[in-house]
Amino acid sequence: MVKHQRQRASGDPIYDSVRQAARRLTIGVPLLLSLIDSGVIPTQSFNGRHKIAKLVVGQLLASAYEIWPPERRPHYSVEELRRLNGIRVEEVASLLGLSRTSAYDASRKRQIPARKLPNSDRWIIPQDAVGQMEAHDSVSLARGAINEDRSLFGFERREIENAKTDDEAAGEDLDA
Amino acid sequence: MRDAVTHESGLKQRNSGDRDAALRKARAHYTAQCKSFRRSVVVLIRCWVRDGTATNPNKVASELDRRAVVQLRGKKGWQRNTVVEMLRQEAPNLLAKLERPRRRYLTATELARKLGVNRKQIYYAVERGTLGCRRFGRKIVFPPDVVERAVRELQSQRKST
Repeated sequence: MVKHQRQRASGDPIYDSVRQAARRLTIGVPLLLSLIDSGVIPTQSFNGRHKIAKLVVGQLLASAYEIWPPERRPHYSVEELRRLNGIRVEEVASLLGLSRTSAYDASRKRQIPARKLPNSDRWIIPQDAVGQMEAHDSVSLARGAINEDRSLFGFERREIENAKTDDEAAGEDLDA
Repeated sequence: MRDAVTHESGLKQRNSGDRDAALRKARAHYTAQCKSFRRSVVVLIRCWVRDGTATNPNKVASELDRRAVVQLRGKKGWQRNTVVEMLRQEAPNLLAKLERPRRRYLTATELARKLGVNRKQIYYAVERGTLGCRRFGRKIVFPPDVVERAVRELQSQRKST
């Protein structure tokens, strides 16, 4: 008698189960099911089970970047979209050095790329949101931030150099 | 008769005492072995954290499972709880590092501490426009690139003066 072992569900390369999709979106399964019922997230049904395309979840997460102008938005390939995960607002807050409340405020004010899910209080944020912000900041802030002529704290460079030359002159006078 | 009884009870006592001592010894040996095993696993985890293989307890557990590191107790493989419990006992600092994600942006206070200047000077530099920052309402945070450049700038200034 051959005993049939229950096979473990193999990782589907294209579709997520509801549980996997909920985990990727960092929301609960009941909320995801309600979103499926309201038609926000399209699904396929296999043997009476909901299957959500990985691409759909990725696109939903990537749509958080719509708050930015098109030239600033990141471009993802299909594979990248399939692999894109979400992170919680608390995690973003800890990465940015903000409190939880400030992070929610920032996402409400569209300072953080986040998208609020309809009929709920949940925000979805792509995993690389802080990385994208950092990349933008490194271009926009770091370049013009430290002026060549001005020192970081206080005096102008030229003033410092002038002061130095004055000191040297005074030293020479004393020597003479 | 009485002597025989006392002799027998003495033997019994001695035997039970020996057994207890042996048991205690075995237990101590087992505990020491467990401890050394746990320490070696912690060293392994520390290496993974250092090279970025594992960034949180879940990943540590899956990595231990993947490398087939045997677990001391329990039939199930390594799980987050077991990893956390072990690290809590053996290396609380490592656990803190694993549970807290690496901060990228620094606040004004943190930047001031890093640069070794007063916090007011940071605000002053921001006001003058020499230090770039990102604003979230009243809060100011500094991206890592700005921090690096500020550190370099301040070092060069200190050298020149």
